[in-house]
Amino acid sequence: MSALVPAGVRTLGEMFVRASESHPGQVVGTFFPGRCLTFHELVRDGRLAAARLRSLGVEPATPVAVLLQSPVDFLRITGGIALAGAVMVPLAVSTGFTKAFLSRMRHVLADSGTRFAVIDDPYAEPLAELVPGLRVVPLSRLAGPYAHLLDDGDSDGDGGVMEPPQAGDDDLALIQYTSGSTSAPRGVALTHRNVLAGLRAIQRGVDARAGDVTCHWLPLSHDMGLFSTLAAIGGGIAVHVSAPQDFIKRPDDWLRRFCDLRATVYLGPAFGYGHLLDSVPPEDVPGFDLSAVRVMLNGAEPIAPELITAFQERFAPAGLDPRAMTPCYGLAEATLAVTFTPVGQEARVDWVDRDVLNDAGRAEPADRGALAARGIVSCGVPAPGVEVRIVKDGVEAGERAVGDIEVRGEPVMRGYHGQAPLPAGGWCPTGDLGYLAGSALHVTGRRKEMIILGGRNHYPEDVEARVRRVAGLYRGRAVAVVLPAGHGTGRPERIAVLAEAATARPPHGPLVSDLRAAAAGELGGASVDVVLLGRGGLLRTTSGKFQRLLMRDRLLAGTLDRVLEHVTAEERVRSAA
Amino acid sequence: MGLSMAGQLTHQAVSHALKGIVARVLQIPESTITDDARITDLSLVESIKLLRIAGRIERTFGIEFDNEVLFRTGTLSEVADEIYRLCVQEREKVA
Repeated sequence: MSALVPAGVRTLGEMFVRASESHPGQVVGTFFPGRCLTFHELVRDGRLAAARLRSLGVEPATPVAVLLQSPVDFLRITGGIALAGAVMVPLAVSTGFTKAFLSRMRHVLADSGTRFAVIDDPYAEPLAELVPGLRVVPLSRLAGPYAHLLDDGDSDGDGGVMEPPQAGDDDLALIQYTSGSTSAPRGVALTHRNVLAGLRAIQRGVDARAGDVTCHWLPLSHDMGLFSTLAAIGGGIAVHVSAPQDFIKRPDDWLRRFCDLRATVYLGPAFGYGHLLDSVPPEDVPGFDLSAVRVMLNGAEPIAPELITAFQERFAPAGLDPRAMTPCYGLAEATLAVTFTPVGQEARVDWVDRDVLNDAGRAEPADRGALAARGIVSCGVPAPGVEVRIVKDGVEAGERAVGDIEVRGEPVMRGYHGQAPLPAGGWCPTGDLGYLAGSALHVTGRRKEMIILGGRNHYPEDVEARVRRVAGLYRGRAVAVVLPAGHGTGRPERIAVLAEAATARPPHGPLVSDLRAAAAGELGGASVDVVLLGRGGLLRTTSGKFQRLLMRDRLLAGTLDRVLEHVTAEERVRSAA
Repeated sequence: MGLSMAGQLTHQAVSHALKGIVARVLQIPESTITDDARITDLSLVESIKLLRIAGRIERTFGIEFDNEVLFRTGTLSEVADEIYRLCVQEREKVA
């Protein structure tokens, strides 16, 4: 019996209620401090939170921002907002309130019109001070052991049955702010119909079954983490979520716990698989038992072919089925899932001629051993209810022609919040480039200027805004561009900062060091290439606009003029004067 | 190599252990890591490697360590100061 959200369910609130009625004893849990809630407790707490949200003035269609660190608390409040018929606005929580976090927060609140925010108690007061006009609700007010003391009498406090208000399936359920730069965030507006169709697409894509156990470490403010977790709940499946830092800092303990939980479904971006390879040496592998694992979704960022084979070979002695590795493709604009490698089929790599791909935009099959061969991992076929097409110069492209990937279907948003809806026909541009071979999708690159580091989107304009404040620049002039991965050289994709130095006299070490440290602050510590130019060295149009792509191409071709110093990310900076 | 043994905890020992951890994770010779360098000065630093460094610092010194300290423009000796301070604080809790 495949574990799907029942057909009659049309809103997120109904899904939570049905899950607690059909699977009261099923659990949602964390990882290390083994904190678990049954679905019954989850919905009981959700009902209480919904009543308390309403008493605070949250009505149907009111957006409510959620900044909670524990996955279990995040889900209790997700249930509460859904049962109150309100609109969920999930936001990532950064440990300290950094300038970047606050600036993004203000833009998101302005864009979404959100006036309520639920946050862990210790951060409630600081946030209220930093963002006046925002009604900040500490978690304990909605779901703490003493929350009932603050109830104003009418609800009996221990879960008076309250049916969810009739939010229609075309009402807004959630606004997801994972795309768009800090200064121009774009809210993916998802209705209940979108979300439920998206959850069913995930369930069908992994062939969800009763008895499955889903485990991952992704933040629930991230679409891959949130919707895979909701898909498990909707299907009556146990799900255990750890904090990302627990996976990154203690991968071997994490994997041991994963085996103890007898997990059958795992999901995460490609770098997570690389991290496990780096952290679990071959001699330790037999100590783990991965024989229960059925599906390991691999999505959210480009996948290197050699990573898949290396992972399969390393963990075979732990009983890992090579067919478990399941490359997939998705994005927030389609709730989450677009394509899956069919369950039970091994991941496939399409070997093509790199030069024909780059120059003629066509995926010409090539022998794997050929010098100019490039392996492109197939992301599988569209999930039921989702369509994929490739568009080149405004026209649908044929087999193996590279173009813009567009998606359509019930899980796909109608448009960004507060912006014009998508054109008729509902095809949504993804900003990614790729081709179809048979009906399988292959992603080859990205049109939008963006880079994914550690599973998170980063935008050059955010790096620019940060590095322009570094002392020692001529009039604060600096730009940032994305340098593509060097497929021949194995150099990873990275950002380059091009800046005009106030003085042409060496030593330039301290300025390079300051620029790299500033950029690292924006990129979670990642290092960038730094190119120092003389005054006026940055190329501009007659109207004064920086010509970023022209400078990038010249930098790559080695024909950029006025370069004082070029320190690549691999090199060490001599910061001492 | 736990450093939480009584009496062993000198600033010098902390700084030396830190350099060892950074060199191993970034796979660069320890000799190239100087006290006045910033971690972001070193080669090909990524957020994953910084988190891994933070994880090893926690295990080596038995403290809670926020990885953002590593790239908040401090030099390695300033990072060592922070670790030393957390170690002393941890011990006072235990004593």
